[in-house]
Amino acid sequence: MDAVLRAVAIYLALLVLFRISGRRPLAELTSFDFVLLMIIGEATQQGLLGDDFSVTNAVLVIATLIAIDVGFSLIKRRSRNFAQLIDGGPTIVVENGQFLRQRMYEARIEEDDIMQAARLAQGVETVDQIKYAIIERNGQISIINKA
Amino acid sequence: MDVNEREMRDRQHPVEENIVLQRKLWRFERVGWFVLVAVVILTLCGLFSRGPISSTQTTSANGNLQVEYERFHRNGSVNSMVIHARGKPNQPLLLDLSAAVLRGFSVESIQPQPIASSSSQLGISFTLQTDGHGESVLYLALRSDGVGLFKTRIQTGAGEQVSISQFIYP
Repeated sequence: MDAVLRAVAIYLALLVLFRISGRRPLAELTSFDFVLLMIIGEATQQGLLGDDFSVTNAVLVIATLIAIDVGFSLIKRRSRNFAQLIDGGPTIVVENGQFLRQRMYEARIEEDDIMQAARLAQGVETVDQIKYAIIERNGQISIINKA
Repeated sequence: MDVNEREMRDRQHPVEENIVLQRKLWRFERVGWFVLVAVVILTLCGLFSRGPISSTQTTSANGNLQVEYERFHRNGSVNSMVIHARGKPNQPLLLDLSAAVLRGFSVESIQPQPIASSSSQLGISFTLQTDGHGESVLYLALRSDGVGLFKTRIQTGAGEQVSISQFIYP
């Protein structure tokens, strides 16, 4: 029984904690972020397994984690609001060459972040050339140029 | 309509937005950060075992029995409990721990080894040897097995007693 309870508790705790930490694209992970993720994995391991290192326990924990994950994805498909709650939704931060500053402030994104994404993706020089910049669900900023 | 309101309207193109929900999520991130800092500070203070809030001691009415213990434990962790008892010099001294301590904890080690120990429905009894001043100290290492609140009564043969409550986190 406790294998399932542990897995559920850890899954939910990580969900909330990573929700708080905000969106960050995997591609832009610094090496330090990577190390941090590995340490988080280490810290989680004991809590997940307890002092039961049997194969059965490992399989039960993994089965529970995957069951929750698939379950969530099924609910997400049915309910748009739930999907947005878990993953967030795309948000426009530049519209027709204008920064939407209140949105950027609340999303904790700087002008520099947007311009960097614009240069990297499209070779854009100034914000006037951008039609839309959008924070995607995975945290990446996508840029649509003015024609 | 001011700039702010215009900015916070939902766009339908090129992506469909739900900015109200998104702003709630952003607010959750900001509030969540403060909650995390609060958790860290509370941990440093000892709310989750080992710290000024958690480590404490209690003494019986006339001071002949004193127990140092942790108010908060975490399931699976080992914490110590120190029991100071005073009786007649160079005499055996009886010490009773109520059964709750055995339900919530398993005793990893006892130092020094008591002269005798026994257990019953009511709990566990140790017989200790006092020194020339009539003092005796028992060091227990307790591993937390249970979850929840455990109330333990510790009693000497002379009728001195203290009650302690300990909470074990999952």
